[in-house]
Amino acid sequence: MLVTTTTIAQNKDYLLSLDGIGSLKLGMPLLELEKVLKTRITLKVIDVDSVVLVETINAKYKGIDVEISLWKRQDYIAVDGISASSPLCKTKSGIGIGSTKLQIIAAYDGYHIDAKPVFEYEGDNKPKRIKTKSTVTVKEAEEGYAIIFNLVNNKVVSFDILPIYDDEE
Amino acid sequence: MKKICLFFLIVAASCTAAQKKDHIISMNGLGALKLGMSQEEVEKLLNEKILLPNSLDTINDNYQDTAKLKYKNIDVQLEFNRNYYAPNVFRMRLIGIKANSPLCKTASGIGVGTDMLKIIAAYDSLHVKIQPGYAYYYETEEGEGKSTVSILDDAASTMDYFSDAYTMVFFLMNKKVISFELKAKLKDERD
Repeated sequence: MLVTTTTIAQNKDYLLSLDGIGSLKLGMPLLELEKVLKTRITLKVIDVDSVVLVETINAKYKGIDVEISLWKRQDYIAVDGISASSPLCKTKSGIGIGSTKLQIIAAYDGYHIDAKPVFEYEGDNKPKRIKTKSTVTVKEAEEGYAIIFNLVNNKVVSFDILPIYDDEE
Repeated sequence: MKKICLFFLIVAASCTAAQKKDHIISMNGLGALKLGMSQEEVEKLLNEKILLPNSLDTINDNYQDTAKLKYKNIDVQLEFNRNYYAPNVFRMRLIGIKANSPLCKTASGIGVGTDMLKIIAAYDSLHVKIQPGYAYYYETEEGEGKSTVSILDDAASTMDYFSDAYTMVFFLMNKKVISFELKAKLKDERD
């Protein structure tokens, strides 16, 4: 019973969704983030340089490495993006590291899905497809929170969770 | 007798192949109907004059126009855009083809009735967008069972303004294609 409860709690901690991983949520204020990560966060750029409003930090969340983007809003600093590559993180339907493009598409029926190759730009500025790399972006609506799955050789290797608005894509 | 039958067989096979070629869907057109063609070229191909009232409208500045026509016995809706190739000199060019005939198929057999996953598998290396509802230029028509699958070529995917960019759009009902649209964003001929 204890083992099952612990397993369920762990799974909930790593549950990947459009608004975060477990209790790590987009839009979460810095103070709340520190409570969840159980650590004090020292900012090196925001509030140090008055012009810069964004900063990325590396942290540990429940034993996994995460990269968190912070954004200074009008009167508080909040989480604006979460990136990770831990195989522990999975969506409710089991999508995570190692999943394929078709599995993602099947799991997110009715969502906005954007599956595209990754391009590199050569000397003449002409885009060239990188054959092995692609991304699959999943959103509930045209704009809003999204999960971007990064794939290499058609398998998810990492993911980013962030808000996407029309002029940002 | 055998030779006559063989001859007719060869003629019939050639006609069928020619018909199929007429209805082949590709990123840049439908058979001989190619995106980027001028109004005059399309008129020559369809053997009829096309009336585009918006193109003459200099008050409302409407740059686009549509015409419903017949191409090789199938109904098509063609969209034209005003394209300047010199200061104050323009021609209407074909930038959109819409149809729903089951005769039209891509080289790999994608067409009306095809399942969504087959489309995605056929265009695995290209940019694929899946959206609920029927996504048009300025609006999305929502509804139960409706979805849109768009295939973008590299220029469309990267919004490369220095190349012609093509998008193939499939409109689906309950995951099966019911119609398609071929779209082009043509580079400015003045560049």
